[in-house]
Parts: sequence; structure tokens; C-alpha cells
Amino acid sequence: MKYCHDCKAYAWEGLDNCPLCGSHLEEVEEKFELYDKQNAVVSRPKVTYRRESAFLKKKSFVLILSIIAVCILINVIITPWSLWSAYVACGGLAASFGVLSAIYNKRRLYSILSVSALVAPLSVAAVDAIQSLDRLGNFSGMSFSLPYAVPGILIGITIALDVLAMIKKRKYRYYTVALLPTTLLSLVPQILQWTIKPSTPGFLTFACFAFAIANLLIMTIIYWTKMKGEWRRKMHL
Amino acid sequence: MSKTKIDKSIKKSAKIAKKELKRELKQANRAFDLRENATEKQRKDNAKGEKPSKKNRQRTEDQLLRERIEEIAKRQQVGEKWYDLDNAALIFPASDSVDMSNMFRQGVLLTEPVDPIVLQEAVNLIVPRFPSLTSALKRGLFWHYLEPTQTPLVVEKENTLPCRTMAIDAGSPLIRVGYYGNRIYVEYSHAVTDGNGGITFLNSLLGCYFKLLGHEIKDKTNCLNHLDKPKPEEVSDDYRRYSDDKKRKRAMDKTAYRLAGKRLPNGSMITVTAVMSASKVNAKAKEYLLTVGQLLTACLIKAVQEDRDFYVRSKKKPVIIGVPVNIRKHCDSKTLRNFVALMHVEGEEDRDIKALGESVKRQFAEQDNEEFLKAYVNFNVNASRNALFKILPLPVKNLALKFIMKLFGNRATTCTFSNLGKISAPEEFKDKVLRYDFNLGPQPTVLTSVGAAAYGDCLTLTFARTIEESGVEKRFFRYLTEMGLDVALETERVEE
Repeated sequence: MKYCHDCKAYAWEGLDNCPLCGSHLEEVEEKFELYDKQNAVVSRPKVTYRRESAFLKKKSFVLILSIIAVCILINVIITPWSLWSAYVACGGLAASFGVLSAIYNKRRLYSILSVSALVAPLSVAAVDAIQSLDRLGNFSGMSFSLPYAVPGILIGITIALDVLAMIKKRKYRYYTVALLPTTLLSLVPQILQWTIKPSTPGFLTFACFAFAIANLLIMTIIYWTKMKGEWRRKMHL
Repeated sequence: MSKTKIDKSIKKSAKIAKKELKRELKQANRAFDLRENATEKQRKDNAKGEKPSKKNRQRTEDQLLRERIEEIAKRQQVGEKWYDLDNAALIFPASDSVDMSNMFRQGVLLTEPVDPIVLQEAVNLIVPRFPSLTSALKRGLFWHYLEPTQTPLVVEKENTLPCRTMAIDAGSPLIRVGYYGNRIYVEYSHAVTDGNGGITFLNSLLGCYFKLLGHEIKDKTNCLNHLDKPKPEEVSDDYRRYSDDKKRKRAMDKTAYRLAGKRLPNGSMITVTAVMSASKVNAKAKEYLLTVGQLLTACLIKAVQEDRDFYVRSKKKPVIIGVPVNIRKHCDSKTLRNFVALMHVEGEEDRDIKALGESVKRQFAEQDNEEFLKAYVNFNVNASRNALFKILPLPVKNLALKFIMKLFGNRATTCTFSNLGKISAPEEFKDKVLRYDFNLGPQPTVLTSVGAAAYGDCLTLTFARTIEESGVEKRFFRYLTEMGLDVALETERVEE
């Protein structure tokens, strides 16, 4: 049996060095009876330390914030007449919340879609606001995001959730639950349209508003029994 | 023609014939050699192209086995019921990070090699019996909850260091079942169960495995029948049942000494398992008028103190060992979910083992009683019942809990010593199971933890550390060997 003379302890046959002090183990005549039987049957695989780096996973958000801060600093010092760092900030945050967090948290499709319903419209609206500020110095130039892009994205995501709920029979309850936040977000463009520019007709925003409500009602009626249980889980206090 | 001339011509033609024969033989030999070489080369080429090497053959066999196990796992059935997290588990999803997760491992060493196919069949049978343990973690608006998952629990062959991080909300079961040689192990997330619930699961799995192998298991000690339906008392949150809204836990104001050392890469963890004779350790503990748990705690305190002195670190902060207590001992509870409290045992400075033992014994008596445990449970339950905290959305709650954990979490303990005590198992296991192993997983600030389990006369102590230095366990085991106790050591075979 193998033995460490420094630690005065027996050791498993598969080891060459003592796990405590690192001394070379020597074969000895005497046996530790209790362990003798185990010694013959114990086997352990050869393993390696985990080498995959979790640095990006842990620090990606901090890294993006740092890049944005550096860009803003360079922008202010070298090119103060332009707002290019705002585009970088917008893109960086959208990538962090919309893409990287989905990858690192191994988000499912229904979760990605409901997060996208928030991140994508916000990013589009932000880009629109930045280009307006850059061009005119105020927000009056915001022309494409609120009336077209944002409702378009939201209608698209709502339809995607509907289709997936119907196709993926085993997971439809997750998609139907993801419909609620998407529906609530779909109401926002029309509400903003009514409050900010009541005179401007927003055909797509109203279509988005009406479609979201009608869609939620229909889906709730179709999937009511199963959705009820899912709501209870999600909302329990 | 004269006779001599004839003889000469005969000799000459014979010489020529001999030469020709030699040449022919030479040519034949060369041709044979060439043919042989060609055959050898072809054989080698064939071996490269068609027949796999031993290593490749092994890999193919493993892959085939894995595919077969996965096929069997697809037949796994799960229930419909969902469960909210128990009071102790609420903190775990928030405290989990990329390289640290609150995992622990329990395993057995069998007399016979494990049959992975039969093990997977046993897992399939046992999963519906333990719905709360085999569920996945899901996010709600206010709290996490456990839900049966469609991702089956697949038996895996051990090929990594123990207790590797588990993506806690990936939608897969929060436990792992694995095997290697004669060993079967189960790794659990603390979000679903504690050590005692884990042992019941492991015993039930083993019972099922042995039955499938054709053995008869009649004794039901700490082993549930897979044919029974899950009972409500097994999945209840007994913290809430046990609390009575009266006493509150006293605040733990001391900050414990923290071990330091060079961290292993990416939260990897090394374990050192020691096998000892339970009866001899018990006899030694009795000499000091202590229990086994108290003696080992005293030795651990002494080892940490000496390790600290060796590295000339400050003595300002005391060495405090966190010792989980099974509350089931003090009340009638059959829950398989978390139901433990944590005692803090402080080590007095510059004392020998005997004096430390007395101090540990006194602290155990002060804390391992119904009054202390009730106060502990009440404090935790009342915190989770706070109305303001309850209505906070989950992401905000997680942030708050992470912040609290950073500020106060694990500051009160230097090491954790979790003792499962004597494992109760069916009588029929005695000739099939050689020992039980138990070790805790990597924790953010507690760099060394110890797990103990005794079965028959075999006591196993497993040190799990996330640092390279093994000073604490070296000193710990040297105390035990100096006391005259035999120790046999095992560890992972790590390739650098």
C-alpha cells in the first residue's frame, strides 16, 4: 500500500504524490485494513482545470460601458461638433442587453423575443433621436421611429410569438405569457402619439395598438385554461 | 572427347547451374522480402484507415453508450406540479455567479462496477418520485419557482472536477447523476435540497438500481419506493411550518478570519478525501468527552489557526467554523427540501485541542437546541415575509440580495464543516456499498469546506478547496494521525 512518511497517511494506489504535502509516496508492507478493499476498486478519471475563460461573461457589460466612456471622451475632446459617440453608446447598450445577455444567460426564444420587444424599439428610437439632434439640434427631426419603425417591430414580434405559440405545442404557454409584456409595449407608440403629436395621424401606431389588444384577447380565449396556471406560477407572491 | 574433358565440362556446367540457382534464390528472397514489406505496409495502412486505435475505439464506445443512455433518458416522465422555493433556497439563485454555485456532491463506492444503462433506467424510475428535486428553476415576476422540466436527467460519465458550475436557470434539472468505475454520485444545487434530502434521493436511486440488477431490497430505511406517489410532507417548506413569529435570531456581529491563497483557475475545485475508521475516531472523541463532530471541528479550528500563524497573518479576526444543523432532529419533519440552520463555532486563541474541544462543546450546546433553531428560522422567515420585499420585482430583488450577500454573506465564517453523521440506509446495502462520500462545492468567500459522512465503520472526510495551498487539510490530518488514527487519502488526478 502507498504511504506518505511525512504525513503518516496511506494513499490510494493511483497517486504518485501525497495530496497533502506533495511528497513522493512509497510502497509499504503494512496495510490499512479498512481501506484495503476500497483501494482495489477506487478509480478516478484524469481531469484538467477549467480553462474556459469567463472574463467576457463576467465583465462584458463593464467593458462596453468603458468603451462607451472612452468614445464619449474622445468625441468631446477631438470632435465636439459631432455626436458619433452617441451612436456607439446606443449600439453598445443594445448589443449588451439584446445580444450578449441572451447568449450568456442562455435565454430561450420566447425570452429573447420579449426582451427584443423592449430593446429593439428603444434602440431605433434612440438612433432617430440622435440623428435628429445631430442634424437639427433638437428632436423635431424624429420622423421614422415612432410612426413606422417601432410599431413595425412590435407587430412583427407579436406575430412571431403567435406563430410560435401555435407551432410549439409543448412550450406555447411560455410564448403566450411573453405576449403580455409585448402587448403592453405595443400600446406605448399610440399613447405617445396621442400625447406628443395628437394632430398627426399615426396609421401604423394605431394598427399596432388595435392589433395587440385584439390579439391578446383572442389568444387568451384560445389558451385560457393553460395560461391561467402559467400566470399563477409567474405571479405568485 | 577424352574422359577428363567431359568431367571438366560437367563441373563447369554444374558451377554455372549452381550460380544460376544462387541468383534465382537471391531474386526469390528479394521478391519475398518486398512482398512481405508491402503486406506489412498495407496492414499498417489498413490499421490507419479502417481499424481505430485503442483510444479512438474507447471514444467510439463511450459515444455509443452515451447515445444509448440518452435514448433511454428520453422515456423519462415528469409531473405537472410546480413548487415555490423554500425559505433557505430563496437566496441561492441570486447568489449564484459564473464560477461559483451552491452545489454539493454525495456519492457511494460500490463493490461492483456501475452499469450505466441500468443506472439510467433507475434514474428514469426515480425522477417522478422526487418532483421537487428534479425540477428546473424558472423566473416569475416576484420570485423564482421550480417547475418540472422536459429536459431529461441524463446519467453522465465523470470527466471533470467535482461540483462544476450549473447554469441555474437553463431549464434543466438542478441535479446531476454520474458514475465512474465503481462510484455513483449525485450533485445537487442547494436551491432544491440539503444534505439529508440528498441522501434520501441517493439511497432511493441505489435501491432502484439494485432492484433492476435483480437484488432484493426489502428494508426501507431512508429509501423511498419509486412506486409510491410523492407526499405533500416531502415537498413542504418546513421553515414556514416551524416558525412561530416569537423569537428572533441574535445578530451575528463578528467578522471571521478569511483564508487566503492562490485561486485555482475559473473556480475549479480540488477535493481530498480521507477514509478513516469511524469506531476509532469515535473512541478518540470519547477520550476527550466529545462527539465526533465536536472533535473534528476543534481539529479544524486548530488547523486553520496554525495555518494563519504559518503565513503570519493577523489574529484580529477570529476563526469561525460554520456548522450546518439538521433541524429535522428537533421536530417531526419529513421534508426533502432544505431544512437546516447554521451554527457559528468560534475558536479561542492559543489553546490546545483539549481546551478547544471544551469550548466547541459549549458552543454546540448553546446553539444546537430548539430555542436557538426556532430563533434562527423565525429571523429568516420574517425577512422573507416582509411585504415591501415581497412586492419587489425579481430582478430588483436579485440585485438587492446580491448586494447584501457581497456585504454580509459568508463574512461570518472561515470554513464550513458539514457533517451528515451516520448514514442510515437499507440493510441490504451493506454488502454492496463500501462507503458514502460527501463534499461541498465552491463558495465565493469560504475557500475551504469539509464534508463528513459515516457508513458502517467507514468515516469519510472530504476537504474541498478553491485554492492551491493545502495547508489547512495537511495540518488537520496530521493532528488526527498524531492521535494514532489511520488515514487513507484520495484525490483527483489532475493533468496540468
